[in-house]
This record gives sequence, C-alpha cells and structure tokens, in this order.
Amino acid sequence: MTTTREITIDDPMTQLSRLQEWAPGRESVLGPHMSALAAWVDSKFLEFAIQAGAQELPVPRFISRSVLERAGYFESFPASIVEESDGGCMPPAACYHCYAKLAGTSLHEPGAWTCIARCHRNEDKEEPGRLRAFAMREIVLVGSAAWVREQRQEWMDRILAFAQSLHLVVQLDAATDSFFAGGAARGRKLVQQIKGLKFELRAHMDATGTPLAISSFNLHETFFSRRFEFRLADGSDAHSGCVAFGLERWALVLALTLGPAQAFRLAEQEQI
Amino acid sequence: MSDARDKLLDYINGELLTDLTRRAAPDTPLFEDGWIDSLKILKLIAYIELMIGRNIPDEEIVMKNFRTVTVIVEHFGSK
Repeated sequence: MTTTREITIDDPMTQLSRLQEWAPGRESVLGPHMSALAAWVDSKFLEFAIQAGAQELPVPRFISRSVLERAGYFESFPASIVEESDGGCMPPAACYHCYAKLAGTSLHEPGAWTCIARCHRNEDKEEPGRLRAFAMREIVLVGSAAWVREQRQEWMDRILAFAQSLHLVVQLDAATDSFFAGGAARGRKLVQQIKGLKFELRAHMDATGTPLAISSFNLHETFFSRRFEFRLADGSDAHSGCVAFGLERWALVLALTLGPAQAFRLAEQEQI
Repeated sequence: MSDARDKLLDYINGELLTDLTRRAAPDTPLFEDGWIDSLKILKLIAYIELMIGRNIPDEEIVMKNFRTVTVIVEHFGSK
C-alpha cells in the first residue's frame, strides 16, 4: 500500500515576486521546493553537457572588472553591472569566466566547457521572469565556425526535445538582444538577426501571456576569441558560442505548467 | 532586374566597401567575412528602401532575403 505524503509547495508566483524584489546587497533565494526543482533541472543540463564531452569548469563567486572590460561588457550594458568592492563584480553571465580561462591559449581541437554561476544584473524593466539575481548554467563552445554552428544546432535539438518531454509548451525563435536600440545599435541587432546568431527557447506559462525565454543558443563568431586572444592550432581565430539556461525560469515554467506538486515530485522521484 | 542588380552592386562597391582590394560580385555572401557590418547594414537598408520606394520592416531583414545582391534584388524587386 502506498501512502500519499502531503507536500507544502512553494507558490511559484510568490517565488517570482520575491526574486523581483531583489536589490543590491540583498541576496534572494528560492524556497526549498523551487530550489530543489532548479537543482534537478540543472543536474539534467550538467548530465547532457558531460555526455556531449564538455569539461566542468568551477568558477569563483566574483569576476574581476578587468575581465568584463576585456569582454566589452560595459560597451553594451553600461548600467547593468553590480559591482562589489576591491575591483570585483557579480558576474552578469556565467560564460565570461570561461573566456578568461581560455585567454592566450591555442586550441588543438574544438572544445566545450560548462559552468554555473550566481549572476546579477541591474535590470530596470519590471516584467515576469526578468530577475536581478539568478542562477545560470552555460555551455561554452569553441572551435571552427562550422563546428560551433553544428554544435549549437545539436544543443537546440537536444533541449527542445527535453523541454517537450517535460510537457512544456515551447517554441524556438530567432531573437535579438532586447537592449539594442536606435543608431548603430540597431545595425548590430539587424546583423545579429540576419546571421541567426541568437535563438531562444521560449515557454508559455499560460494561454495568453508572453512566452518566457528559458534558454538561449548563441553564436559569437570571433567576438570573444579576438578580445581574449584564443586561437585554433592553425593560428586562425577561434569561433565561440554558448548555450545558457536560466535555472529559476526553468523551475518556474515547470511549476506553472505541471503544477507545483507534480513538478516537485518529478524532481523528487529522480533523486530516489 | 539586371539594372537594379548593377545599381546595388555599384552602391556596395563604391560607397560601402572602403577596402579597394575587395569587390563584391552578384553572388558574394554579404554577411560572411565582414563584408557588411553593423554600420554598413543601415546604409544598405536605407539605399534599398530608396530603390524600392517603401520601408522594410525588421521582420523582413533575414538571411534568406539578404544573403547576396542577387537574392536582395530577387526578393525586393518582386514587390
């Protein structure tokens, strides 16, 4: 005979509100059930990454301002960084650690790395899922242009299938970064659009709402390899790309789509 | 069609490409190897809009419509 255990589940929308109230100096955390769900979904991404040959890269909590300057971060997002004292910043994305690690190297073969970081951004928009503090797992791909593009396609196929297996209602859309505005920035947006440099996996949280981007699949061409001077063995510039997962967003859409109780049981059963 | 193609090629080679050693041909992929960058694309779009007499919405600015001069003329020339 099986017994049904009552589970008091964190309400996902309450969790979302708590995350949106985040302010510098105040660390927000998910409740225990949503944290477990985010940890479970991350364990799946890590498993996929290891299976695909990625090396796990442990990263520190902070990132130096000089790394972000070298990456050109302040040129694109001058106001969004959260600075700490003594030259350290909260990372705005996990992958910057990886480019710093690769700086000055020559790659004898294409490679992939994965890391997870607690990221912070001074977002000025108030909209569902736009968080100021969030956990991000990324897979960074480095190799020839063709290899990186092919790998990105494999990751899009893999994650789309995974999301559908969880009954999420998702779509894979070409995207551009929302911060691009007028003038030359519009040109960057259009080039990104023409070249298909960015795709987002968007999940519907309900029948009427705007779908929420839960993962992105990006090609950087030689943007980072030139700035961080990592090359292929033949001396040519390496190309890079990244796949990013917003873990709170994944947990939220799972909880909202499946219902919190069923979503948490999914994670709980996997852990048995 | 060839008039429009030649006109567009002349504009790209004469006004957009500053490196005189590089000349675009009708089937040169414009968005590979840095032929057209984020500054040049705005001028290119403005020029095409003048040619066809209408604004081009952002949704129409995708690779299948902009890969080469031939493709651009085939797509926008048919409107």
